[in-house]
Amino acid sequence: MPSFDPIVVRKAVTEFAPLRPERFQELSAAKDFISELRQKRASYRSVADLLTRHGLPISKTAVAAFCHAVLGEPPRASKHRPRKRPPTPDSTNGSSPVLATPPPIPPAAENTSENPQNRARGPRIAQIRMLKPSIP
Amino acid sequence: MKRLDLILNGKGGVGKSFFAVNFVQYLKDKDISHTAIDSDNENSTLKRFHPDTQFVDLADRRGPDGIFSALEKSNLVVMDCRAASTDVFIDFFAQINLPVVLSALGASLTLVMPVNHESDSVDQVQRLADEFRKKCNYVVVRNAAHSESFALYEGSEVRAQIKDKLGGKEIAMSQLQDWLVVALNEQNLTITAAAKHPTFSLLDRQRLQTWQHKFYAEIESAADLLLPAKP
Repeated sequence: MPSFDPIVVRKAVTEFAPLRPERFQELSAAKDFISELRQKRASYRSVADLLTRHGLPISKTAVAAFCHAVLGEPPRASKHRPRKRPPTPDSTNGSSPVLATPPPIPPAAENTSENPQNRARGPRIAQIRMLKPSIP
Repeated sequence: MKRLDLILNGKGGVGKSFFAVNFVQYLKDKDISHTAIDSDNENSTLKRFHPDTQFVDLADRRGPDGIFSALEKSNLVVMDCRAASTDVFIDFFAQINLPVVLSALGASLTLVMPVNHESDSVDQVQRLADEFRKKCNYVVVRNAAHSESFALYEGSEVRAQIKDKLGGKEIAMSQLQDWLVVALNEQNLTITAAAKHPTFSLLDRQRLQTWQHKFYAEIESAADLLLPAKP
């Protein structure tokens, strides 16, 4: 293993080229053309078609991404309305979730000398204590 | 000994007022001195059939005091308690220390509790028996107006508790023919008045009297818990 030599490392770093091509590497050469076409209100599809016809095959999606990332165009709001979905119990968007089943009702107080201050003023569900069936 | 009969069951539609109207009529027919009180400010049925009935406003914090004012003057007070008034009475009796007040007046309390086939009506009986235990007497009125099945009540612990441990009694209130109930309500007539009223046919008058005889016999079977003790 060679010993660490900062001069050699500096040269290697300078000559380093990433294996993956830089994003929009091919479109960068056509930046001025794309910008001019967009100023002429050409659509992403029109830009893509023109460049493809002239030896730079590209999709309208790639043109749009280039316009947003490199030319700084603001993305257009989608015309599609998002589908309304029923709220789920774990939704955390600030509104109270609608539970599929109502919360359990606490059993009625077991009784005797209930303190009026403590007595819950809510629903009261009948809970009759039944005699155990006699074993024949 | 004086007697305070509270016709009480927090469940609505179990027959409290129907029982009250006919029980007060029994007292009148038998010349038994009493004071009748209605506490239903929305449907004052007892007062409709018996206009001499007093009214006690349970919404007024001192309103229930009127029950004991009446008991000071009368040997028998019969009160038709409106639905959903169980809490009011539990709180009020705890506030005044009921046994002490009854003792001071030389009176005893009987809870007259109509029940029907519904669990809510039985639950109310259970609640009252759990709360008052031996502080009062109990008469359960099996009201067959809507159903003759009392399976829930008959299988309940509270029924055995009232009969075996608390010395309570059961009486039956049979169904009165529906057209007669309508006719009585249309004209605000008690059965005693209707039985002499010309608008009722002979057979309907007989039906009314038959029902009333049975009802009065049931009352008399529990007279020791419903009426003042004879000196």
